[in-house]
Amino acid sequence: MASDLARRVAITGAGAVGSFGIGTGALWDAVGAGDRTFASCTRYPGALPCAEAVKPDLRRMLHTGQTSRMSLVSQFAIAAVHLALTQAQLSTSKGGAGPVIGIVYATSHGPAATTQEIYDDLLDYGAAAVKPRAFQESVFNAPASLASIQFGLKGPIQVLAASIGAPVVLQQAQMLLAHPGVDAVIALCADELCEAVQSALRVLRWHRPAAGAEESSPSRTRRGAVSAEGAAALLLERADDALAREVPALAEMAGAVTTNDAWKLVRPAPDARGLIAAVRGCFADAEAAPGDVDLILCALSHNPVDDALHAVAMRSLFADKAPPVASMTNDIGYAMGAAGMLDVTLAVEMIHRRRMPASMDRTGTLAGAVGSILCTGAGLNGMFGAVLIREPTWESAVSADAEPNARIAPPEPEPVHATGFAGRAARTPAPVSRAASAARGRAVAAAESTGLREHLQ
Amino acid sequence: MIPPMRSREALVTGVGVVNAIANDFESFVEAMREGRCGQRAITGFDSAGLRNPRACEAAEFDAGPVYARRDRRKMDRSSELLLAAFDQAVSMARIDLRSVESARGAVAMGSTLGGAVTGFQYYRAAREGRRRPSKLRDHSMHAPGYRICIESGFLGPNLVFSTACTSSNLALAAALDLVRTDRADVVVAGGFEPLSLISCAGFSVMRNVTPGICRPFDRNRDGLVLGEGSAVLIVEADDFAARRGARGLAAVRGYGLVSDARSMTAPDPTAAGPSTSMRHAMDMAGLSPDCVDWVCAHGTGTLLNDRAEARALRQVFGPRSREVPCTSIKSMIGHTLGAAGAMNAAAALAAGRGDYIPPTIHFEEPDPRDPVACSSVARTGAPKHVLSNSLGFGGSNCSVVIELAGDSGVRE
Repeated sequence: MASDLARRVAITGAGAVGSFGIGTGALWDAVGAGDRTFASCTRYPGALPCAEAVKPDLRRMLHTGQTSRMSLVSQFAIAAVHLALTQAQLSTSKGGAGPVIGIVYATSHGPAATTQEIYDDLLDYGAAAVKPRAFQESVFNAPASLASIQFGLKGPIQVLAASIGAPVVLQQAQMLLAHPGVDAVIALCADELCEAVQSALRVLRWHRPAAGAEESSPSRTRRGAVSAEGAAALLLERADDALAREVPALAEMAGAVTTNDAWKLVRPAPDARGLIAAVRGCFADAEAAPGDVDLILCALSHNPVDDALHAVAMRSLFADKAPPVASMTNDIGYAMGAAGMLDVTLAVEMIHRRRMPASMDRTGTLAGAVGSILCTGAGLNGMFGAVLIREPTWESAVSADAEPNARIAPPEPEPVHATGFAGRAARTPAPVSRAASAARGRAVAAAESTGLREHLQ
Repeated sequence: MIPPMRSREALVTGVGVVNAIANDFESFVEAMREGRCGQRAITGFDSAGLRNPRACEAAEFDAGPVYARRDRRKMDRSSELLLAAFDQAVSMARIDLRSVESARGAVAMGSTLGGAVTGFQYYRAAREGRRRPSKLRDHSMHAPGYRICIESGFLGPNLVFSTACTSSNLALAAALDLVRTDRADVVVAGGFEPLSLISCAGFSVMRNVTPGICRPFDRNRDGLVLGEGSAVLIVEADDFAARRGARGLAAVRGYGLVSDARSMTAPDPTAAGPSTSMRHAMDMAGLSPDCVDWVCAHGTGTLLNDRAEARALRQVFGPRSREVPCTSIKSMIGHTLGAAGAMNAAAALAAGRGDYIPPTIHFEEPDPRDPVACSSVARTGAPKHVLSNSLGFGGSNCSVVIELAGDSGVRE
């Protein structure tokens, strides 16, 4: 059992930012409330519909004003990471020898609005007019690097450009956790709205047109994605480490696989081979079977091609025994590289709360029966992925007298094939008992000190 | 599930390279031996307003053969550079990528601003009211890697890392992980970086571009010179290579990856991050510092970066830091940003091929505060264990240990 728990991944913290507000509770409420109306972005001209995120108040959250001038995507990322770390009861103090926490971050467009600002400066005023601060924040790794600086995280940082981020970051996070020197990994996805990107996606007929234009458009372009923005972060650690730390697991990240379909640029293979391979690989990774899935959450763009692809894949994978399929992009828009991660975050909430948002289970037949959720996604350039989130099967118990923000006890060194991140101390497992509510209370108390109780419902 | 690490080795069986001093691997071997400098006037765009109108542009690169092998449809500069290096690497490895089980083939690349040239062209045209959807086909950073997936039939992950200067060292690290966790048999790994106005302007206003020439580790160094290019390695699991009778030119033995968590732009003056990443890489490779024969340094030529790296070398190697040969190939090919790690790996293989240690050209006088063992001319030698460093914008540090094969190869 012990070795099995060392291979299982516990999700012990989650954070989300988007049009729904700040925190996983806000995400839950927004999806539970059902459909919403989209509007054009208030930050730039244009009539295309979008779901603009609520700007996090980082001054209040972090008691520092240093983050308020960062690009929005960095602010979203830092807020989501803060929430995940807080819920996981991990110290975020700078300096000192804390646990080794890595960050794996994926984004579709990176700090796109900042990049557009640089383009405008170049075109309007020339090369010398580019602002140094804008340039340093335009690199794709800026949100992750700024988060590492903000929270003093000295573990590995991986940043990936990905049109569908969740399976990529979760797969890479699994890989990092295979190294004994990494105690925990923050899997993070974030993207921001940008005028140039949104209009380009409309040029590609991927984006939904403006409300007025929709009436006169040919039928095939009537639908389409509604751009959104935001961030989602999950704190992942080995299940035995979570047990030793006496923090409750919200869910298990059982499997994550990313694939591609090796077909054509900007046009997916119509037989959905990439998505089918991703789901099959995910089942193999999780040692699960199609019959284990209670619900499928699809990061659907509502572009006709993408939606049809999902339908083909689901028929191939589940035949006539497909579990219910749901998508929340009608409620919160499609947050680009972060869309799939918001799905995964909602899945974690469903597992943790042991129910579904009301809007997804209008008949009430699934209430209390959701123990395993498959999240799927399809992105630009043939990128596909699948993630399986399920109820943790190990004893998720905590000690009533455990210290909040306790350090992660490092596991024992690998006896063979030691693959780096050396210099770990021997593990001292903490006693385990059932007092999850006490730990939860401490997490909420810690959150209250930063004014975030509402985000940890 | 967290995958178990196995004892599979990650062999390099082919390499391809394009940069300012060479358009293929064999000419790269000779160009570095001669200490050729790739710096010249920028031709790809108007350099007005830049701190230095000269850079290491791959000006002699001819994309014609890349198009001739394909459908001749216009592609982004990143794809041109990457596919040229990819073609060379596949040819050297003598591998039919279609023979790889599709789900066990993967791509891992690194880039900082890949696609920026096309993205900027699209934006400029869009501002003028001209919409050119074709420009959007492959401006995404993952498009060049996806082209390789399409050609090879690989259905595994197409990863493109973008952690600034550490990006392609990270790609090599990912290739090693994919092989060791038994998730891939073959990984096409490397990096690509086009020279773009946005990168030249950005580094220019940050004043870390030299107005003159790049002199890494020299006491009179005053900044970097930007470069462009691509380097690709065919990385195979040793069991897979053995089945097809392929010879390993080198093996990726280990890596270290840590963050400074200190500043977006300035390296940590304590050098704790790079020294830790070097130690982790050697630990993973099962080597002590005494076993390292050559350090292929990050060596950008900026005052603070070189100082931090030199200090890290001193912390790791002790007094031997003044003796272990050290090279910055950026003195010849410029700073290729996200492709820098892959360029270092290609340089390591070139050194193995030519039995020499590449020079740090323009190096004249050691920095008395932080001396390292650089030489402005190539040194004779047959390095076996090479430590390749990358220190990235944003505080990311990644070191990779590469073991070069002798005449008989790492594995037959």
